Amino acid sequence: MEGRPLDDRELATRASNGDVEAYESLVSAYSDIAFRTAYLITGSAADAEDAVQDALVKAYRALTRFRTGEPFRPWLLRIVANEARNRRRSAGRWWRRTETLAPELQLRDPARSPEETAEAAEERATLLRSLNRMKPDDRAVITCRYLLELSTEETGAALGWPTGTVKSRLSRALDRLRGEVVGSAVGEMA
Amino acid sequence: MNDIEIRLNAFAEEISWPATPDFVTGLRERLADGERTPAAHRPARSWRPDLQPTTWRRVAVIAVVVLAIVAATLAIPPAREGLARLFGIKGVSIQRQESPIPTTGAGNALERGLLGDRTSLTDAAQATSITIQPPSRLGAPDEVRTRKLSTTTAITMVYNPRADLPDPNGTGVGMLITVFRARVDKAYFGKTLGPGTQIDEIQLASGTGYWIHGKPHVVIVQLANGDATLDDLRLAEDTLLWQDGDVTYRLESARSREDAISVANSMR
Repeated sequence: MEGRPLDDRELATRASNGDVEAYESLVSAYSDIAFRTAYLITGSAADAEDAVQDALVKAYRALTRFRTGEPFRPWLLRIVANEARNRRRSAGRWWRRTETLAPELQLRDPARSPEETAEAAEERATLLRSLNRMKPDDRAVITCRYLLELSTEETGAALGWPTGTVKSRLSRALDRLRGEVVGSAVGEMA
Repeated sequence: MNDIEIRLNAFAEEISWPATPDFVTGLRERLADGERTPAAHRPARSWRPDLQPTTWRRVAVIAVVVLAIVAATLAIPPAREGLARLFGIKGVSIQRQESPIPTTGAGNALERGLLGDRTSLTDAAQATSITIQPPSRLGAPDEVRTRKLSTTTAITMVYNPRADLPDPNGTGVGMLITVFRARVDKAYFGKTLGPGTQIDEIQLASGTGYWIHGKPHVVIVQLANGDATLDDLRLAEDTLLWQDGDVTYRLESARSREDAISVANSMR
C-alpha cells in the first residue's frame, strides 16, 4: 500500500476482498479501544485478550456482510463487545455476575507530579475514589463515554444497551458522580 | 458540557489500562486457523470451576487430599502457626489465586432465593440444632434463609440496606451473616482470593477471627464426600470469619473492620 494512507472504509473494502494486510492495518488502529472495551466487560486482561482475538477472527469472516460506507469502528466494537459478554456470561452462571464488571479504575501515575498542585492532586484522587465507589453499571457507562471516549452508539454496543438507555443512564450516573464528588469534598473539609 | 464532564474528559489521559496485547502478530495464522479452533470453545484463562460432574469429582478428590495434607501438617508444631492463617477455622479453607477473580453481582430478590428457602430463626434453629442469636447491634434480620449443603445446612441472616448498613456497591443487601456447622472430614470451604486481597487475624470475644479485605473475592464451597457445590451468592464485600464452638460464622458487608467486629461480638 503506497501513496496516501487509506481510510477505514477503503481498508475494510480491501480486507473484505481478502487483503489481510489491510485488515492488519485496521486491527492495529483499533487494538487499544477494542481491548479496553473488552476489559471493561470481562474485568480480566486475559479474558479480554481472548475475546478480542476471537472477535477479530469473527469480524474478518463477517467482512463480506460489512456494508460499504458504514463506520468500521462501531461495527468492530459491537463484535468485540458481544464476544466479551459471551465469555462473561459463560463464567457468570457460576456466581451470578452482572454482565459488565467495570473493574475499578487506576491512575497511570498515582504520585503527584512536581508541577501539580496539592489541590489538583487531591481533586484527581477524589474523582478516582468517587468513580470507584459507583455501581458497576454507572462506572461502566461513564468509562465508555468519557474515559474510552466512545460515542453514544458505541457505548450502547459495548454495554448491550439501546441508545436511549445509554443516554438516560449516563445522565443519572453523572448526577450521582457529581453528588459523590461534592460529598467527598465536603467530607474532607469536615 | 458541565463541570463534571469537563473533569472526566481531562481525566481520560490519566487512567491506567492493562497493556494492550499485540493482536497483529500472528493474526494471519489465527485467521487461517479460525475454523479449526472455534473461538468460543477455547477455555477462558482465568480460574473457573467447571460444572461437569466428573470435574467436580476430581475437585472433591483433590479436596480430600488437601485436607489430609493439612491435617498431617498441622501435627507439626512449626508448620501449625503458618497454616493456621490459611486453614484457621474449622470447615474453612482459604485459597490464594494468582489471577484476579471477578466478583458476584447483586443480591436481588431472585438471587436471594439462591440462599435457600425463607424461614424464621426459630424454625432454622429447630432444623439445624444451631441456636442463633442475632447481633444485638443490628436487631432481627429482615430475612432468614436456609439451604442444604450436602450434609450440612447453611443459615443466612439477610439485612436490607439501611443507614447503618450501607450498600455502596449496589448489591441490594446491607449485610449477610451465614452460619453453618462444618466438619473438616465432610466439607471444607474455599475462599479464592485475588491479588490485593488480604487476611488479617483478629481477636473476637469468641476467639480468633479472620478479616478478609481488599479486592473482591468469591466463596466456593467444596464438599469432600464426592459432591461439590459453589457458594455462589455473596456480597463479595469485606468478610469477617470466626468460629464459636463448632459453628462457623461469616459476616459480609461494606462496613469497616471495627464495625464488623462490633457486630460479631454482639452475637454472643
